[in-house]
Amino acid sequence: MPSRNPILSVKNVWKQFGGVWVLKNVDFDLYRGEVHALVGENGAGKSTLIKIISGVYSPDKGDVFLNGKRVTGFKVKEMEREGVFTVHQEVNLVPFLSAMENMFIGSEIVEGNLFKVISYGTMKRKAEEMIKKLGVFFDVKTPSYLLSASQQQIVQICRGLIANAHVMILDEPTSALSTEEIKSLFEVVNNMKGHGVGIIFVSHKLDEILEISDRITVLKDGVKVGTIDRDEATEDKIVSMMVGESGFKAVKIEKRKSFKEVVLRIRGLWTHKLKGIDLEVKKGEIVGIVGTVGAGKTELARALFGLDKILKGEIEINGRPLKIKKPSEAIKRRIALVPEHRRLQGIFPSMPVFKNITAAYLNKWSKYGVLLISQEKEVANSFIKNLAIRTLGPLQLLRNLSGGNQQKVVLSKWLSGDFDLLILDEPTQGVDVKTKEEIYMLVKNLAERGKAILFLSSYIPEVIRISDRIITMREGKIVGEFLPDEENIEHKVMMAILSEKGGKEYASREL
Amino acid sequence: MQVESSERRMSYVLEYILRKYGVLIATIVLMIIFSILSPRFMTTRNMLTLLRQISMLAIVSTGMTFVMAAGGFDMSVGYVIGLVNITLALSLKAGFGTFISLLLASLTGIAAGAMNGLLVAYVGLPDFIGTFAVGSIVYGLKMMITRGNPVMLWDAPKSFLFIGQGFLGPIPFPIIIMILILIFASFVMQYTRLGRRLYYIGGNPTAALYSGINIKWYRFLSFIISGLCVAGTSIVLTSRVGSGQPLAGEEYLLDAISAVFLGLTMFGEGEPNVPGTFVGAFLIGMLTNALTLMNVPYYFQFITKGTAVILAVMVSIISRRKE
Repeated sequence: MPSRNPILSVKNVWKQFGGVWVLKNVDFDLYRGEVHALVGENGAGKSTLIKIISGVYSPDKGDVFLNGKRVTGFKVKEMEREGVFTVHQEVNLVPFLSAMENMFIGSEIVEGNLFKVISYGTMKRKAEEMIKKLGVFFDVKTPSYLLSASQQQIVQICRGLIANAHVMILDEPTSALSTEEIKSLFEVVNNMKGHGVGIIFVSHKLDEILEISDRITVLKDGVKVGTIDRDEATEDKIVSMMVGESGFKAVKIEKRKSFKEVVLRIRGLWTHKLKGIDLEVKKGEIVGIVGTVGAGKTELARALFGLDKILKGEIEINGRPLKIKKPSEAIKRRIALVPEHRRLQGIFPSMPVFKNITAAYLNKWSKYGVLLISQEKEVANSFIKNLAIRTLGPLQLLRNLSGGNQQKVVLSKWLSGDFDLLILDEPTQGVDVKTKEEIYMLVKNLAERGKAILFLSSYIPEVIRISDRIITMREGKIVGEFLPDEENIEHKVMMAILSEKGGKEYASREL
Repeated sequence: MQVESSERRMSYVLEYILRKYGVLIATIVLMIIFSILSPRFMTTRNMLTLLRQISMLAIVSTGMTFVMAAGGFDMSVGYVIGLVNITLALSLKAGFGTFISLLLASLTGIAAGAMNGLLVAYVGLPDFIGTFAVGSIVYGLKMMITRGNPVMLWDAPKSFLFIGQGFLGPIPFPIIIMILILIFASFVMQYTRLGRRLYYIGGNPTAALYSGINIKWYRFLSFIISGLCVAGTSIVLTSRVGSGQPLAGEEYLLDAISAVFLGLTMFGEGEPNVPGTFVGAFLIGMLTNALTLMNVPYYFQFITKGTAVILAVMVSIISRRKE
């Protein structure tokens, strides 16, 4: 392969956001007929690199070449014209248009001399040829909402091939697919390879990566750790590269705390995404739950907060069964949730800080339905002081605060009330380093004051750092349990969340 | 350093005032212009007439403010005003008396609101579709009841006619009703849990849900409140015209929406609010009143109203984009 020229090469690319370098001098290349996997933890820079290749971002330094032509700074449309096409995680087809219409969106075949009309006949023939070439069969006239998840992805792939793609980026293509569907998708990928398309494959699942790729590039903290050939790659080796040689300083725990009172007990919990979760969290304990995106962490939080339907299983809070249908009932049972998407689920951007802080426990700041606004402001002021929220005051609109300070306001919203169990879902995402530290301190502090804490995160080092106990999740199931001071803990946890066998091999269940 | 920041602060304050009170300033400027152009405009008599004219619009717009604060829309108000008007006229004609008739009118408004609320908040229809469909059904109902003929009230009770035609001292009674409703509604919106929760839902429905707010219930309530206000407007209207008119009230839909939009930027941060809505309703009523005084053809009023709304909404969109 090295004898030929790469169709895509990314050279010494740097990219920063808000003063933080997310890509540092990264090289990446791709040959015709090759599957090149891109691996790394959340925040390693995978998606930034992909977005640079597909033209969403342009690099601050460095260059991108396609077939030897410099395409640095090209926009998405221009990149597509040059043959770079991305199949996104979320399928974006028009649901009521047929598979074939979706394939030809933007490049409809038009025939006729006087009146130009869309030629459905030609389009149908071409679409059928295309899926045949990829080795799959389905009726191309099916409305796309009736297609299976993998068929929908294949339609997206076809759309790219029709637009003459040489470089196909598959961004976590298997996250929504069943085992069978993954098989047929991989067949398609292999057929594309046969036709000379270069494929960039982004995935969290190591077994799939080993099955499908020719080469694997690992990113860590915006730096390329290395590129290895399939033949020399093993799951262990990839994880080692992801974790890094520097290693994570193991947490030293002098005296293991013992926790007695059970606050949360879950037995055999099933929802549309969770498959039999068993879990206990005790008073004063911080339980960290780690998993990749889509492992089911958020769904666990949603189930506990009355947002997802519980199909089977039991939940107990403070020894009493929890049967809830909406968040207001969860709050009544002393559960609090700092949700994953702050902007979407946590804040009221057009409202002042103090109204954001009192939103969840409004009954506390009112009497006979009438608000005690001066008390609300007082409470807001005390949180602004205690959590060092940077704001002009309780009347400032929330949208004018920085991300970290907005997150502090969301935390204050819950801290102002009464809860026994606090669920934090990716609480440090999109938050500056200093605020992150403050959030860790705050969580530790709350645990010391007897709150039970579920800390959900996909960032392993922070979970190791903060938790008394670490639970790993994968595909809706709990696959391992670890203590933060175990030998080689980061490697073990990474194995457990990425690899099918990792969890079983390493899990140390007994305490 | 200090100077620069204080200068920036000045321009910021100026911009803030313009954005926040632009509609109010425009209203005052127009008032001055109108009073120069027409000597009959700025008289106590005409001002009282103007306020009486807008009382009905202000009441229905207040209800619309509640719905829109929670991020909704009520497209049924115009037709429901007509249905309540017919109900009231028929009830009075049947000799049920003022009290019972007012009760029936209120119940009709509440029922329409409940229908809207059920469809939009609980069934989950889009506001536009759900409330528009209810409006259409209501229109059909009142046509079915009246066969398109007015219901004349030759001997309505004095107590009923007082509502729309009476005076307290020099002040027309509808103005008193309007002021009481405005004060009460302002209080509810700004100083009660109900009002605040509507604002939370309008501000970010998902975050409201995640904060434990029962968004379905509160959205339902907002439509009930709108229904009640619609009944209020219709009661004043019926008492003023002294009959049931099958086509009465239809123009209030656009005017109410316009009033809320005109008031958006005032006294709040781009959120519907009662005082702002009142200024909006006043501006609309004043345009109609002044243009009529100046013998401008009536169709021109629609053009000015439309232009005013476009300008107001543009200002609020542009100022938001800036942030």
